[in-house]
Amino acid sequence: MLGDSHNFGRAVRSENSLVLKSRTVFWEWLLLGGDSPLSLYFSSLNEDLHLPFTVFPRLSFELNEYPNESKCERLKVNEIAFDEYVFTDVQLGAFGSVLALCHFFGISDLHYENTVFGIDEKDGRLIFCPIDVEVVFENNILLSQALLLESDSLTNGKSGTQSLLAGLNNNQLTKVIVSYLEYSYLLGRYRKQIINYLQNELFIGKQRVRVLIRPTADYATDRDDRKFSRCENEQLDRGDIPYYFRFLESKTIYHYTSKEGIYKPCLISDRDLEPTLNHIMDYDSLEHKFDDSVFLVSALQMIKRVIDEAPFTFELVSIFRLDITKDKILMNYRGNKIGCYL
Amino acid sequence: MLGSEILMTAIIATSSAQSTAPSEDNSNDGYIMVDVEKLEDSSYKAHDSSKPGFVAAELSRDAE
Repeated sequence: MLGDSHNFGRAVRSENSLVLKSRTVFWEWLLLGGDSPLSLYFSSLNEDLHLPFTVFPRLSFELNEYPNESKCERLKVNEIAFDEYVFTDVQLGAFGSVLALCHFFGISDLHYENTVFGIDEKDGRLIFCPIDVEVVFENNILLSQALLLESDSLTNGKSGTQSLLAGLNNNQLTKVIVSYLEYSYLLGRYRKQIINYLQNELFIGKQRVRVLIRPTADYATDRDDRKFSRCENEQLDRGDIPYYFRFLESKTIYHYTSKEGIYKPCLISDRDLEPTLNHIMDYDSLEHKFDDSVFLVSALQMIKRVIDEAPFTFELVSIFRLDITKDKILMNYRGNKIGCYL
Repeated sequence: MLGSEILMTAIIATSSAQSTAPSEDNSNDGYIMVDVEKLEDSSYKAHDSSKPGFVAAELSRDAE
């Protein structure tokens, strides 16, 4: 077993060169599959949109309907020696584009064990990608909410970018951040087409998405039956970590009631579910979610969290200027001026 | 929208703190100043671990 037990004792497990998952692997296939239709579609829209796929692996998948297990080729990477490896600007740009793509799709729970950075053992390519993509289309404002970046509530090297960003110098980090902004800007230009494609060609509304209604850690420590709902307690009683999901086209949250995959709406009160419902996007709001100010503020958080030099100035003519002094950060991205005090 | 409300709160918080913030240069030349810490805190509290809905902040479990 590679993870927690859910839904009547099911868990992710490995078998030779495969990872077997008792849930949909649709989202992982969409990003990491060697035959990903999204990769092809992005290339057809704009060559630059393909950038994140240059550092994604090209894995084999077998997608099966729940409760049958889906299969995924295991990704194996070797560590990178930062003092020996010379990153190109395109590679640094690709790192930023991956962060932007994850933010765009609202992929969450991307802590250090759910991202991979290294050299692919299979083909020697540089890899930076999310590997456990089951919580998607969450309404994150900051990358730290997706656990991609550290914050006061997430420390000790547990963020999903820790192994990557800690090894880069400040100029390299700034290039990653500029690329994050540029790729977000590009996604914004094509968002209508992308969402239309996802809805009408890939039918993502019918796909299951995991919903986390509380941190898994809450279930693991000091169990207090009064704190949890009846259906959470039922799942805990049989040795499972409670598991909930929805179909992307609706906000109704379900749980499985049999090993064979029968499911029912969960009976947690609307009041208790309100924070969860506020944080997930409904099907119709996908197009309107991606507010440019979110990406600007998120980039500012990245600068504040990862660049540790003052004074520091970086300029990319007519697109980006960053000035860090001992007491403030000022960032000008395409005429959008935003800053913060230190 | 929840995100916009939080963002606005962070901007307003910085505006009121600006007069007391130590700064060598108070002219920010049209920059919107954001209180990133307040935003992190507000975003965090909106999905606080004490309530349902917060995406795990404390990771004491094995990854799935």
